[in-house]
This record gives sequence, structure tokens and C-alpha cells, in this order.
Amino acid sequence: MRNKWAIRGFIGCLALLLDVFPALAGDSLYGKVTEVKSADTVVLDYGKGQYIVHIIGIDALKEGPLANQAREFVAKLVLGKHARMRLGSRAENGEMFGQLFTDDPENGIKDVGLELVRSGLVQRQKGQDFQFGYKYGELSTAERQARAAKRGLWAPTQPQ
Amino acid sequence: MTCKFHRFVFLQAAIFATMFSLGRPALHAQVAGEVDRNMSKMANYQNECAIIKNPTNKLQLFSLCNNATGGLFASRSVDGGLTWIYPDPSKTIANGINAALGPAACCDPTLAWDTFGNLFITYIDSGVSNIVALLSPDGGQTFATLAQFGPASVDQPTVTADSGEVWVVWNQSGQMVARGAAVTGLGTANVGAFGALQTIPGTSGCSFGDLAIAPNGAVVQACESPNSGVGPANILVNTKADGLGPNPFAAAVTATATNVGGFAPIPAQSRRTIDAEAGFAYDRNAASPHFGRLYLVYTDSPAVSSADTNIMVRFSDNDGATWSNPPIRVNDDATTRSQFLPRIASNRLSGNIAVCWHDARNSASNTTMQEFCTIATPTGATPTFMANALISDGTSDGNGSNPPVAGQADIQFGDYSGLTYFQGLAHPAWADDSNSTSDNPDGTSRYDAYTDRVTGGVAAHEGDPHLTTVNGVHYDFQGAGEFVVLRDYDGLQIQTRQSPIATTFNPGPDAHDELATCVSLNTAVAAQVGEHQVSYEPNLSGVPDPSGLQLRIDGSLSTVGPQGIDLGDGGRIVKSWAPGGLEIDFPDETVAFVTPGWWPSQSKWFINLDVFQTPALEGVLGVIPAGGWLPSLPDGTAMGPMPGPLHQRYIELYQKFADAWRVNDKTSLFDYAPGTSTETFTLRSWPLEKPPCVLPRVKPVEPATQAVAERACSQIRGKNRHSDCVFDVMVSGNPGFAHIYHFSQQIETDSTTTTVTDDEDPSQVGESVTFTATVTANAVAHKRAPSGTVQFTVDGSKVGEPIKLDAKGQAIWETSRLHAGKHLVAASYKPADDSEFLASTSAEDVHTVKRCPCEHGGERR
Repeated sequence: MRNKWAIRGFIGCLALLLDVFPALAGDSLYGKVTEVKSADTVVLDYGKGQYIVHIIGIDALKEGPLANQAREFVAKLVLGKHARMRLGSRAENGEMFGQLFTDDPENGIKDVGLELVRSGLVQRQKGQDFQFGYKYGELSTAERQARAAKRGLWAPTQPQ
Repeated sequence: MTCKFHRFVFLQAAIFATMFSLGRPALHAQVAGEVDRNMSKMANYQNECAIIKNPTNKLQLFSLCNNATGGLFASRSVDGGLTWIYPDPSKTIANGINAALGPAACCDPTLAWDTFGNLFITYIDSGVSNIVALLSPDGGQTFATLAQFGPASVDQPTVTADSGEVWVVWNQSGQMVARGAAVTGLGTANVGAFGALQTIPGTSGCSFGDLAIAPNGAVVQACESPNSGVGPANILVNTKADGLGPNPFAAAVTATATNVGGFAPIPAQSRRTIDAEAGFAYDRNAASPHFGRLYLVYTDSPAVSSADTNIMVRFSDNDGATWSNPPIRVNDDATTRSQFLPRIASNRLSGNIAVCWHDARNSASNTTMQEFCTIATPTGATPTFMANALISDGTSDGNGSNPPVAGQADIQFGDYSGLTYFQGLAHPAWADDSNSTSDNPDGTSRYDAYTDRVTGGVAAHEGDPHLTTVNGVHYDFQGAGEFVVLRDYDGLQIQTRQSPIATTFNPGPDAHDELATCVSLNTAVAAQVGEHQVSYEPNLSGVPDPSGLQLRIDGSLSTVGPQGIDLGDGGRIVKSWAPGGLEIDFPDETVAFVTPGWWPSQSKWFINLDVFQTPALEGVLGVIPAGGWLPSLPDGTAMGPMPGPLHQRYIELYQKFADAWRVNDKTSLFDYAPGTSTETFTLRSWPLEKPPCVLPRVKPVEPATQAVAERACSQIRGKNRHSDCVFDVMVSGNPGFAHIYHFSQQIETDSTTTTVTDDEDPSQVGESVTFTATVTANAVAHKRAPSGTVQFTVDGSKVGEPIKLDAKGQAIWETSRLHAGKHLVAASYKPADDSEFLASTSAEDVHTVKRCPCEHGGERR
């Protein structure tokens, strides 16, 4: 796990060196989340088809108790519910990168990626202070809040 | 005679040899841009630009773009897009720092500017949960928050304002919604409360659209459904016929199907993808034959997932209820590469429409883009677009927002580009990472916001007479009489008088139509310039007068002074560089150069007419439709393909076509001596189809040999102009033709325009005011600014010493010593000794100096 963080940290530093500031704007697509593959990957059914959507701006653990907690956190917010993806970009395999928002009566409008960072269950992508849709440092602020509250990744002891 | 002639040729050759050098810019006809302007010059990237022009002041523009970091990139121009300044030193508004610049923005700016002077702005706020509407009453200097719509799940706002209404449409939870308000004047106090949210029927899953207000007040919105997938999709249109009235938007109408879906990847934008990007423009000119026509631009392809995306236009004459079919393909390339992110705009004064887009036609890998534009006139039953013109100076790739790093969001060029079109100039705006302007702080790694000034280009009416139409077709027109050579529906009109010439020799057929008729000469010019009628013709008495042509304005003899003659609304007349020549500036930005020459042996004046940056597309110099051989007739009817038999060509050209464009007593702009009229100068049987080219009581002119003509024309470049010169000298025996060809040539390649702007108006007594003179080359191919000096004048008197132009062709004069009152500030450009450019003088900038406003209602006593 430490290696994965290290690799992601390296990518983040590389991105910083490359002066990478992902873009703004976005095109909203609405649908129902039919599967939460991991904390940063869901399946959005938009009626005419489905997209695999990767939530941008975050680095999520792929395994371990915190990874499971993070996946469950996302599932509770969006699984089986109406949601919105704001397109950032599309991968060659047709999978999408974007922001994911709740859009249902229970949760109202919440930014899932931001909520994940604020919960301490994921980190913001390092070197990405100006993220897609987060150009005022929202992700950094959320992470500082999580650190201050010692939530999730920032708790003194991690679940085994 | 022989000695004099040879001396003339020798002197002429010597003059030419010293005046011309290698590497002159190529001549450009058709739609053309100037040098690109980098609006942002800002670190990191700016893209998805909106741009708008003040419909009551052609010098004022405002642009707003997405910015990589906080806020939206904002810039404005007060000199017609030549230079760009900023409402805030940060070059941003809505940046979360200064509340006076609007609530913090995420993205997606759109703009509208109404005839009251209200500049409306909408964007998505930083929380992506509100649509923010701002109003600037002063052209983008200050801003007030007009409304915020939300919080809700919102995206893709569009604002439009006209006919006393402002409307905002956006996507909310997947559904298109709208709100409108009445506007009665300038400023927020004159904008009524926005009405209730209107849910637009049938638009669930529909987005990426546009919004337009008809001249009759109807509101029309377009969106693409579905707004996902690679295609196919439909462009849906809903109309609210009663504007701000109580009725809802009507049911959606399918304007067109398209194979370009909401998220369609193409090689040039593989990561962000494109959509059909539907856009609207209304013909708002009441004099246009298609007043109230609604144009729709969109992107389509032969098949779903095809990279051969094309720019298409349909139109509706009933506010979107039904649409023309088949669509018109706008891009004229023969490739299967991508055209994408189109934008359409109409010139409300003429009804002309401009379309600009990103184009990968010159990219072998189909992955890089250049900005292209075209313009069409509304006259015909369907619009006929001029040849596509490459506008951008550089080539941009899709990596200017973000390098293609796996897992990163990257919106590349973004989802839209910008375009505004008013009073003769179209201004596209796009994200550009070519660094063609050499002032992008990120070099070629990030987009800056670029724009250009796009016009109709060059037309010419030279010699006896050889015409170059505004879309670049060269043909001879030897009719005798007075003709409309150019006109537009915003009032511009130029007419010429052609007089028959008796000759004994014809050098050969016209390459365009192979006709070898007798010839004529252009001997007088008249024009409608704003509210004024201008004529420049030989002495009305009919007595040959070598002292010069007579200028009349509204029938009165006039003389052009050093500062020219101001005709109002930007119209003016100044002396040109050529002896006896005039430059006529029209309010719509058209510039016409009239260059006369005297033919001693015939005691006649002859005239070259060269027209630049004109949006006028009709007349004998008008656009020739695709597949045609002549410009369309006054009613827009196309002349069709060239007939096979030469005699039939002659009949069509000199009877049907020529007679259609003749002026009559009501339409003539010329001045006449008592007892004469346009009929006096009309000879319908001319030109005779074949020699002998005789006229009653006129001795035919003696021709010159080809060798003599070639010598006289040795410095006239360009295939057409050189052969025209040789033809004219041969047929007339008059080497003086070469002289005015030379003047026309240099005017076309090296003439300049000088403008003066002030940094604030009015100013206060004792306050420092900065006046900027900008000198630009009229030929689009010049890529470097003119060099030399400008002399500023105030109220006709020189102030200070001449000031050297900088590398941008600008000179600044600052003063705090102007007295209270109105002043006329102008600048005259003097080229550097080693410069090929020609001198020019600006129009007068009216600057008002007020006394201190702090006492007695604004006037110190």
C-alpha cells in the first residue's frame, strides 16, 4: 500500500513538474448509479447506455479496510440513486473522468469526490491544487479539514 | 512623342525598381483576417471563450473565457479589437477575491450586449450549483450581480438580449429551463425581475444548445438530444412565440438529425470529445430580404463515429417551426478531416452571416486545428458562403489545457468557441497554443485566448475594366453606362460609370469567359457613405478638365483638407497616397481607394477602384455562387453555370446581367449637369461583341505593341494585374495605365490604417489622458507592424514631436494639459525611410474634457 501511495505521489509530483492543472468546465450527464466498483469508479446508467465514471481529483486506496469504507461511503451516497457526472475527459476505452454529484431528494447536491476527501477516506491528488472544478483549492481545504479532525487516513490508528 | 514615351517608360521603370522589393505579401481576396491578437497573454490556459461587440459602438468588444485558475479571464477592447485591456489587473472577474467583480466562477461564460448598452454575462459559480447573471453598464469596466439561479444541479448556461428582453437558458437536472426579464434601458434599474422558471418541454436529456431572440420578440432555444453517447442525436428547437408573455415554450421540433453525439471523440479532441454544438443567429436587418430568418449551425458527419465532421447550416423563416432541407455544408475542403466547434453570428446591420470553426483540414494526422471562417449574404433564397478562409496564423493542438496524462481530466479546446459580427467585422475567439503572436507566457504548452478581425477582403475594378469580385474571381466587364458594383443591406453602395472606347485592336479574349468584345473605361465613381452621397467624376460641364476630378458631397463641390472630410458614423474621405486619389471610409469598415489617371490624347479621366475589408457582397463585384460564372442578380437569383456558346455568354453578360445592375434615375448616386441623366452615359449596345469597335464621331485610339506594353507593365506583379496592365496599354496605346496599376498595386499591398483611441473619455481638467495611435497594414499578408512615426494633432494643430512607433505599430501620447471642452485628436503616420508602408491619417477621436465634477452638479464655476 505504501508503494502505491508512493507511486501516486510520484505521479502527482510529475504532474506538478509538468505544471498540470486540469481543466474546467464540464458537461453534465444525469443517470442512475448502478454499480460502485471502487471509491473512485462507478457505473452510471444514463438511459441510452452506461458509462464507467472515474471520479477525478482524488487518490483512492484500492484495497484494505479504508478502501472498503470508502467504497461503502460512495455506495451510500449514490448507489441506485440519481446522480450527475460533469465530464472532464474521456479515455480511449470510452471510460469517463469527471466530477460526480449526488442529485436526489435524500442527499440533495453533494460533490462525491469532495465528500470523500473531507471524510478522510481518500486523499486529494497531490500537486493538483487547481483541479477540474476545484480551482479555488476546495480539495486542499477539505483535506485540511479531514486532517484536523483526524478522520480516516488521518486518524492516529488505522482499522486492521 | 517617341522620345517622350521612352523617357516615361524609363523613368517609370526606375521608380518601380526603387519602390519594389522582393518578398512582398501575396494578395488576398475573399474573406480574410488580420494578424492574430492574443487577448490573454496569461500564464496557464484560457479556453472556451465568449466574445461580444457593442451593437451601438463598433469599437467596443468584450471577451470572457474559462481560466485555469481562479475566476474567468476577462478583457475588453475600445478600438475594434486591435488591442485588449482588462477590467482588473488580475485579468479576471468572478475570481473569489474582489466581490465587485461578481461571485466566484467555475466556468462556462456566455455574453450578450443589447442596444441599450447593457452587457450581460452568465456563468456557473464555483460551487457548480448556481447560474450567475451579471450586468455591466459600461462595456465591461464595472459589474453588478443581476441574479443567481439556484442552488440546483445546473450546467451550460446561455444568455441573450434583444428587443427589450434578456433571457437565460440552462440545463438543470438534465432538463432545459429558462427565465426571462424585460429590459427598458441601461443599467440594473432598468432590468425587470426575472420571471418564473420555464421548463422547456421535451428537453429531458438535452443540452449543449443556444438561445436567440427574434426581431418580433419570440424566444427560441436549441439543444442536442441525447446529450451523451457518440451519436446519432437530434437538434431540438423550442419556441416561445410570445416572448415575455404568459404562454409556455412550445413542444420541441426536431430541426435536424446529426451523427455527432454529445460525447463524440475525434482525433483533434479525443479526450474532451465534441458535440454538435448547435448555434443560432437571426437576420435582424429590416431591409434584408430575409429579415427574421433564423440560421442554425451545427456539426454533422457521414456516419456515427466518423472523424469527417462537417459544419452545416439550416435556416427557418418561421422562428424554428420548420427548417430548410437539405442543409448547407459550410466547409469547402475536399478532405475527410474534422471541422468542429462552429459558431455563427449575424451582422444586424446587413443580414450577412459569418461562421467560424476549428478545422483540421491541413493536419495529415487530423489532430491539429486552425481557425477558419466564411461569410454569406442573405440575398438569395439560400445563403451562398464565400470560400473558406484560414484565419489563424498558427496551428494548435489539443494539448493546451493539459498534457494527456492517464487519469486526468482534460477539456482540450473546450466545448465551444466565440464569434461576434457587427458593422463589417467578425471577431472569432478561440483557444490557441501555437504562440504565433510570440507573447504566450507558456510558449506552446498552454492555450491563450486568441482573436482576429475578419472582413470580406479585397475587390477591384481596374483598367478597362477588369474586375476582381469579393470572392476573388477575375473577369472583364465592358458594359457602357452606370452600374452598381457593390452594395450591402446596411446602406453601403458603390457605383461606377463606364464609358465606351473606340479601338482598332483587341489583344485577345478574357481568360474567364473567352469573350473578346470591345472595351470600356471606368470614368467616374459614386458612393453612398452613411447618410451622404459622394461622387467623384469629371467636370460636369463635359469640357475636358485635366486639373482633376470633381468631388461632390450631397451635390455640393467639396475639397479634401489635411484631416479629410468627416461624414459621420466612421465615414470619411481623405486624400490617398496617389495623385488625385481618394480613400473613402465607410461606416461598415469598408475602405475604397479611388485612383485616377489622365489620358491626354483622349482628354479623359480613367479610374481604378480598389475595395478592402468590405462586408458588401452584391453587385458586379459581388460573390459568384458556387458553380456560377457571374455574381448573382440584384434579387439574389444566381446566373447559373457559364453557357457553352460564346454568343450566349455575351448575351447573358451584357444584356441580362449588365442591365440588371444598371442604375436608374432613382438609384443613381452620381451628379449630373442640367439636362443629363444616367441615360446620357448609357450605351446598351456596348460592348460590341466583336471588332470593329467604332463609335460615332470618335477617332479610335491607336494600339501599342506588346513589347511596349510589357515594358510599361514590367513592375506590375500578379498574374491578373500584370496581364490586365499589358492588355490595357496595348488596346489603348496609353502607357499611363501602368501608372495607376502601380498605385493600385502599392495601395493593395502597403496601405495602412491609423486609428486613435483614448484610455478614458471624458476626462477631467488636469487629469492625465493617454492617446494611443495604432497603425495597421491593410494587406492581410503583412505579418509585421508598420514602422515610422506618428504626429498627433489636437483640433488640427500638431502637438509635440513625431513619436516613433513600437514593434506593435503603436505610439502613445500622454497629456494632462487639455482645456475643458471637446477636442478632436488625430494622428498621421509617416513611414520610416526604409519602410514599404504608405502614410495614413486617422479619423478624429472626439475627446471631452470636463471641469471637476465635485462642485455644482459637475461643472466648476
